[in-house]
Amino acid sequence: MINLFAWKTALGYLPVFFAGIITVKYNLSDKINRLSSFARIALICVISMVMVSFISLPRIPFGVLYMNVPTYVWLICIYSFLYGKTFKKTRVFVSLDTHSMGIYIIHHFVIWAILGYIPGAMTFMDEHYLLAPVLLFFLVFLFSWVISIVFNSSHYTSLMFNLNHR
Amino acid sequence: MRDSAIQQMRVAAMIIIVVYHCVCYYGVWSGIFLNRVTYGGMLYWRGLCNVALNAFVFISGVLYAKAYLKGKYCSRRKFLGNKIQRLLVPYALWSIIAVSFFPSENITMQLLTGIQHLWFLLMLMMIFIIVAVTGINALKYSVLMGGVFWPSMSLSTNYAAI
Repeated sequence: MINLFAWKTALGYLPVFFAGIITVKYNLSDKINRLSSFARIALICVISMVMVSFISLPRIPFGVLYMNVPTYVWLICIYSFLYGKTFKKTRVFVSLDTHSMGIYIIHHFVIWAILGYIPGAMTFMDEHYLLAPVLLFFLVFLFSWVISIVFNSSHYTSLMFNLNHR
Repeated sequence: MRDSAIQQMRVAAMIIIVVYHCVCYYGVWSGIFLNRVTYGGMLYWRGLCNVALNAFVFISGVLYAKAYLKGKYCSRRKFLGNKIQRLLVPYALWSIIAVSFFPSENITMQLLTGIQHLWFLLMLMMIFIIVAVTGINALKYSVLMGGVFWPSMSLSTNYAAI
């Protein structure tokens, strides 16, 4: 069946969307934060171990099905641990958060551009398969960030990310 | 004031996805470096990227619930209009750029099913349409609805789509 307008993928991700709704609706953050530090650390360790074991063993029958439940619980726990904690927001952090959608959209194009249009980039990637992804990451990340900032500086180009509507 | 927990999760998820796409050439994106198909740790990166994508959707759920409880989404029409502006407009614009600069085969089908990484915007729009259609029940029966859709995760194409 054709995944028209990503409907199948949307159905797949719907439970985690509802996990977010449930977290707010039932105030799970406060409930989890009422647990003792030991219980919270134990909880996150157990869930992380379950997740890693499912990531490592993708061939088990219906592995994705089991994998996602610990992921939902893990996300609820992480959100709860971070919720309400004092966090010093630097300018860089705030900018990264504001432009996260912009960076997400642009980074793919930057990867294509670097590897497709810069001569020798593909050969470099093939020969230095440990160093190249690291360099590529820094290049792609910085370029995407700068492009996102530049696009957002004008009203018309900011429509491409709709950041001004946040 | 913005929820710093959401901000921290969003930044972390975004960085993980960018890192993952930087190693994708060694195995996930088809047949570019054939000798590196078994790139060490790819499986872990893939799993981690899946968690990051789930984190993005989770954040959307949290923000939706908060806005809904504040009474922001009283009008379905206004809600969907806002989401179209936020998701479909960027999808359309960036798809045109993707098709123009990096042409590929079967463009129409790709545009309808979600072109490259932009499938995420289309998928999120579809989630909001489902939630808008179900209306108040989405919040009222969230546990039940999450449970109903849970098995569909195993049937979905999300792993292939990353």
